[in-house]
Amino acid sequence: MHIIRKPQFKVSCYILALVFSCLLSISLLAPESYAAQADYTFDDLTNVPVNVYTFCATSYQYVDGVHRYIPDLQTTETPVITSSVGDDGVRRNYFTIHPPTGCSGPWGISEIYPTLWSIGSGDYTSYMALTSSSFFHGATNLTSNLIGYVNNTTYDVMLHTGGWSWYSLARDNGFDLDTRYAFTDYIDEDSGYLVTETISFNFSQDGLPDDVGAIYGSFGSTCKYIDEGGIWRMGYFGSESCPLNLFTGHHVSELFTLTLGYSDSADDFIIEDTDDVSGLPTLDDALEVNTSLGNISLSILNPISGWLSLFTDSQCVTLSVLPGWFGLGSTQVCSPWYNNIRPVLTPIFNFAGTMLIFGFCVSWLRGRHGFDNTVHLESHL
Amino acid sequence: MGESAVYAIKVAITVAATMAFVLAIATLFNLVVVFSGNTALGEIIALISVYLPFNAGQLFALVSAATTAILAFLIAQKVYDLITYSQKAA
Repeated sequence: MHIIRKPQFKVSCYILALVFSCLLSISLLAPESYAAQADYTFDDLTNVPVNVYTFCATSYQYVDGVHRYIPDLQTTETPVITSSVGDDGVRRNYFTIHPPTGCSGPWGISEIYPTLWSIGSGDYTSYMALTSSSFFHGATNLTSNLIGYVNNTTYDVMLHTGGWSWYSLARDNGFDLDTRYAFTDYIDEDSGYLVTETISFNFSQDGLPDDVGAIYGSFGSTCKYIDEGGIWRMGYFGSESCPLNLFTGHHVSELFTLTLGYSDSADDFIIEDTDDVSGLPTLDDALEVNTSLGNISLSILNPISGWLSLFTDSQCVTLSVLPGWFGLGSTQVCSPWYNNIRPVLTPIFNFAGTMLIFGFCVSWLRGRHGFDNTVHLESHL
Repeated sequence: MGESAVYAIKVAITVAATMAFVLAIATLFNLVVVFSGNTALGEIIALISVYLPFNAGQLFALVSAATTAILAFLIAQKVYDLITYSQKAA
């Protein structure tokens, strides 16, 4: 039975359905606002370049009484920052970090590098980055708030992710570490995986050096090391002493040391050295954010998207299962192509693929590939 | 008025059943991916990606997005046909 209808109306319905689907997906993927720190408003960080280094923890080993995850599938991501002003009048900046392609287990962020600009006399605008090493489990994407604000006398930064956050405040022109800091973790007692993590501290300094080009921090080398097999390992769920290095341009100084201890209890993850954590994010705040961020995505409509996501952009991959069949340890396999080939061929293939798909859609809409055996637009045009 | 209500219920039930069916299929596929991601199959795909002269992740992400769009189009088409056929039958 063939139903003849006006093609314009039908096409309009299709377009409306597609637009509606897009709007629905955007609304589902939009990050939740985090209103716990409504006392501040921040600059638009849309143009701030951010590099995020992620890795996948495919397995872990119990070495020297410490559970050590084996980072794998290490990739670099340059997330796009979006900035918006919430209902409370506070501008926040968001970016989304994806787990490494092909990673289905715990994954983490090894480094995050925003950039600090133009510190000098007079007005300056600058943004600070703190880096961390952390694991996530079960989440597909992480939407973070990167909040920065600087004027002549105040410097506030908040880097926050769902389920994990760095939070720092620097007042009075500077970076001398205040005694107040807090570190809060929550471990899922059933799975044993880290669910949330929050670190908070304040610091201040009389003035900034003129030659400051970048400020960033990271966990020190004692938290990660290269083992005999050349694999970068990270001790996280063990009792470790991890110095947090805060780099200020050409000056590098170790400001304080965090001690991470393993426990099944969430309460035990609060650092005992904490002096005053009043007003800082609490465990409940972190859990609230963690539960408010969903993993809803339109990808559930595409059954093959999971398979396609197993392909990776990495130049090298570390294999553990296949070499194991031949009695070998983890083996790293790198691309035989020169590094400068991919940046050239990738856009070409992307363009060709796009044109192929676009051509298919056009020919389909013109009736050359009818799927319903009913109405083809071409017969009415 | 009564016919419209019955028609709306029919459409709602059909759409809900279809969504559950698609979700079940996608969940099954994703479960397979989860269990194969860190095993030999995942490593084989990663190995293929490394030996391709372009960033396979980007290209297949594009293909994934395109197939998602086509699927959305097809679903919209089916929903449209469902509604119009139901209206004609009513």
